[in-house]
Amino acid sequence: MTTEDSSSRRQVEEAVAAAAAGVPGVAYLRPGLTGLLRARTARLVHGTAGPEPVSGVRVRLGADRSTWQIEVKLTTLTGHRAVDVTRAVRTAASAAAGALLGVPEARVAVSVTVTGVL
Amino acid sequence: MALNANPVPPDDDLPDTELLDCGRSLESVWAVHDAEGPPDPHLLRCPHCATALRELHALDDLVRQARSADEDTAAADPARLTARVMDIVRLELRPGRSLPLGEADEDLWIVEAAAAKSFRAAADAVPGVRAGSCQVLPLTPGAGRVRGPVTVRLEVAAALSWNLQDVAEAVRTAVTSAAVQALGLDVRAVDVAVIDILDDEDAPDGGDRG
Repeated sequence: MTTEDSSSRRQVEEAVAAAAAGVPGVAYLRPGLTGLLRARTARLVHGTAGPEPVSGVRVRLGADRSTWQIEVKLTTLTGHRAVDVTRAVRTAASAAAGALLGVPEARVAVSVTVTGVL
Repeated sequence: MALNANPVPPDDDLPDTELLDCGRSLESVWAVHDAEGPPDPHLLRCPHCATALRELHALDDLVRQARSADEDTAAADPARLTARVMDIVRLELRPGRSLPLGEADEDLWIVEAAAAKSFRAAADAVPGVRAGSCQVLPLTPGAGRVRGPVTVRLEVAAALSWNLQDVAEAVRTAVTSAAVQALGLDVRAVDVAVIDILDDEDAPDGGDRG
C-alpha cells in the first residue's frame, strides 16, 4: 500500500469515526486496547513509524476493487435499542464515507458490531 | 422478523478469534511458547508464529513500562509473560461469537458478551432472582458468523418464595422482552436453569411481579 492510499484511508476512517460517535446511543467506539498495543508493537518490532490507528473503524477496498468495506465497532448506552443504534451508525458511516470517497453509497458496505453495552 | 438460518461463510477478514496466516490462533502460539518441554518445531520455522512471538515480547515490554517499578521482580519471571499480557487483552480477545441484529440481509452484529450482559440485567430485575452465567448461541450451529435466530441459556438463583416453573417463566419473559426492546436480537428459545436458592434477605419481594 502506498503512503497516499494510507493517508486517504485514514481520512475516511476518521470521518466515519466522527460520524458514528455522533449518533445518539453510541457511548464510544471500541477503544481497541489490543489494536493499539499491536500497532505500537508493530512499530517497535518492524521499526515502521505511523499514526495511532483510528479506534473502532476499519476501512478497506473490497476484493472487487470497487466496493469500500467499512467495519465499525462500538459500545452502546443502556436505554438505546442496539439494532436502532447500529442502523443509524450504518447510515451515518456510509454517508460520511461516500461523501469523502466521492462514490455512491451503494459502493460503501458498512458492517456494525456492538462490542459492549454501558 | 425474517428467518434465515443459512450460515454465512466465515469472513476471514473479520475473525472472531485472532488467527495467524498459518492457521494457528494467537493464544495457542503464546500458550505453546510458555509451556515447559521441547520447543514446537512449527514455531521454529513458521514466520507468522515468529512474528507473533516477537510481538508478544514487545507487548510485554509495553506492559512493563506501563506498570510501576515495584513489579519488576515479577516481570523478570518468563513463565508469567503471557499471563501478564493476557490479563490486559483477555476481554478484547474473548468477546464471544458475533450474533446478528436486525434482519437477515443486514450486516449488524452484537458480540455475545454484550448480549449476555443485557440478558443478565433483565433477569436481575425480576424480584427474587439473581442471574448467573449466560450463553447466547445460534439456533443453527455453523462456522463463523451465522445470521439467524439464537437461543439463550441462563443460570439463575431464585428466592424460595418462587415456584420453580413460575420463576423460569418470569425470567424467560424478561429475557425475551429485553431481546426485542433493548437489543433487536431474534431470540427463539430461552433455557432457564435454577441452580441455587437465594436467602430471604436477598429477596424481600420475591414473586410479586408477573
